[in-house]
Amino acid sequence: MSEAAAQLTLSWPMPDSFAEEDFLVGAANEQAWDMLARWPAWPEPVLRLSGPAGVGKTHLASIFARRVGARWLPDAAMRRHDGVASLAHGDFDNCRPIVIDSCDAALVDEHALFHLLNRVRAEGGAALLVSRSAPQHWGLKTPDLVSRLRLCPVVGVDAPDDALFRAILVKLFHDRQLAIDVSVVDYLARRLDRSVLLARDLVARIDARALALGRRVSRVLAADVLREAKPDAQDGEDPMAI
Amino acid sequence: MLKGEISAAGNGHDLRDAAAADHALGSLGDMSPEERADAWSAVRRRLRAELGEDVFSSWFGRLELDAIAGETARLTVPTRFLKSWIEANYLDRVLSIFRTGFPGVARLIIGVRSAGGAVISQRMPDETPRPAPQVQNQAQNQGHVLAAPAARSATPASAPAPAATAPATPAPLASADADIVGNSLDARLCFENFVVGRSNALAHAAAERIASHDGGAPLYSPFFLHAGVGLGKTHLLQAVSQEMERRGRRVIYLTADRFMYGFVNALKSQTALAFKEKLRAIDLLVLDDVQFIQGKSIQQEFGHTVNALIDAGRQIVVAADRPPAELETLDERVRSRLAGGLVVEMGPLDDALRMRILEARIAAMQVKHPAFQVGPEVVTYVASVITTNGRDLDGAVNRLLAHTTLSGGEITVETAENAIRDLVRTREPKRVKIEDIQKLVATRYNVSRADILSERRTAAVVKPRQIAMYLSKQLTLRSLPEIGRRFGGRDHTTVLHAVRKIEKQVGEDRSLSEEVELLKRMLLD
Repeated sequence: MSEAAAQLTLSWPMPDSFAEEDFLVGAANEQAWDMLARWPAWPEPVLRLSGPAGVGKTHLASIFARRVGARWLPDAAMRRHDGVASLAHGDFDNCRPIVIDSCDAALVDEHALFHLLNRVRAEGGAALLVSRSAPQHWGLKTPDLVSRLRLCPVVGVDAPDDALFRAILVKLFHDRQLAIDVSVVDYLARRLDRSVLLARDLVARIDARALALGRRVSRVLAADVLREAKPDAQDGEDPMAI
Repeated sequence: MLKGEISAAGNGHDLRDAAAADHALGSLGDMSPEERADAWSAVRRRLRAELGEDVFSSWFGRLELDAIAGETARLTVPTRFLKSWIEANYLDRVLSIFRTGFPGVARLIIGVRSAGGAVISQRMPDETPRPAPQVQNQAQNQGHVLAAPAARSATPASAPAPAATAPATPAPLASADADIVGNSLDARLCFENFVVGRSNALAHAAAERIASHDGGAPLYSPFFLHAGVGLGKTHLLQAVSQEMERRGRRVIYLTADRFMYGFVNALKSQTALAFKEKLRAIDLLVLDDVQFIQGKSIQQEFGHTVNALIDAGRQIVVAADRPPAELETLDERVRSRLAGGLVVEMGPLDDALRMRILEARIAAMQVKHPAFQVGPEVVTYVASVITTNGRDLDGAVNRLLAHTTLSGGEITVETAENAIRDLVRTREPKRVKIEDIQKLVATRYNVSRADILSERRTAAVVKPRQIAMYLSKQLTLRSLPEIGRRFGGRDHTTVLHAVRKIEKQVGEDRSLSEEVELLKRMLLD
């Protein structure tokens, strides 16, 4: 339960496809995409992937993991103390990168992570650490660990820009086999806060509405859904933090 | 809000608990499996009739009753998408129809059938058998499936090892016989790569003397090195180890963690005696990060080992993040023994040393990355802002290299500033609010925020208003209508006009572009 709470929970869980063909590359994520594609020619054996909630970090990391046959560690594995021995001493294959998702989730076993990083560096492995913020903000108590984490180069994934956001909208409709006119995308892209989570939610609602009414998705229909779905946003309220 | 919220996370935990509680009360006997199957068939017929054949077959054809516990029923579908779909669109309807067959149920949970579902059925012995779980979309839907090592075991062997690191000694795992396996040494951490300055000269000189000392009684045993994080302790320790190893001496380099692990293992396999013997038969024992040593028997053993080695005239080199007297976890006698040799502190790095460390690191990187060029003004800049420690300097060089790798461009002070921003910044990067933008722009242009929000159309107000709108579009995720709303209820076309206009002017007018950049930085930092 605690893992679920630490992970981002969507009020509308979507069929997240972490397939490679479902990842759209744009200005907001191309650096991260490029750097992951370069493995094993990374500047350092440990790389951090950082960005706000809901911009596709897990998706990108899982594409990488699949491509290189990485070992995927959910954050929970880093919280168990018995994880220390196995990670720091046991089963370690330096040909197989390690991916740790939600590395900044509370209660990561700091010693486990510390020894794992040392081992990766010393024995020639590689690790990708996925987090929302920089290590100095994770609330870690081991200064040595923070210092080692700061050593890693960082690639960021940001919220999409207008162009990428448009592409994402098209993709979201396409995923649902909804044929849409480009005017619908234009209409929505201008009126929707640039959050993938919001877009996903909205496309799902539009899809539902179109289905319920037995109509194709039009600008009018999209406008109706948008009007109803629009939460009364307060200033300072973070559209990414739904 | 969303209908999907009705079902909470739907992961079955609460249901399982409820089932356990219910089971204890014995109330599950109300309905026989046959009765339940009949009621479920009736519910399905009703769903089909009420929702129509198309909807039913599209979304409910594969809906199954998994379990009922108290007032909660769990239905399953084969894919997560169906679960979301039903939760979001039909949960209320399904519940009301479901209640016609199962009046006691007040709550529905939609689950995805997967291997995990089997756990629930084990807890519910009276449950009707279900068809085999269909897991067709699971692998795609759950990133964590990648975690299963078995599932991926076919691929990794083909993955090339990263060229970036060259482990000097591969570290086999500590085995049950009393082989002591030290940590592997990093060939890069040698004396040649250690940059000497005022703050570390004494430590460096002592380490070199120990490493080059030939036979006879050790010069200073123990040699205790302490310093804050990232100032080069491990580098010196490894340099001593490698140098002595090169000279054919028996050396073991252990982190506190490896020491504890090796000893615990030896105790378990009842080879502790042999472990100790071996430990005491070496020329140099190097122990890193001894502040991490914990546990009573481990501390005692650590104390014995230190004593035995010193008494036997061996060289010990120890490092910690604090002086011996402050190692609270260690016994008083061990502390004084550790303090009885040479204790040296490595201080913070001064400006000159930071510059030289940077230059040395950059030069080392250039061996492998000839395209990596960093001008002296960038080095000076980085040395002036990264004042913390040597590891942060390495971190800065890593970021500069990553930048070059990705962009291929020249590194200017400006790009360097961007690349190392996360190292320098002490606060979380701010999420800019439209209100902040309005306030800052107003102050900057000597108008009030009320002016910016007002209907006034004088040039003195229009320009800052447009700049503020442009910055709102650039720095927040807000949509055009939302931005319009925050600017006194303006139409989104007005915002679009402002954004386009400023975009164009920034491209043409250098002073405006600088002004806008300055405002952005003031908002972001």
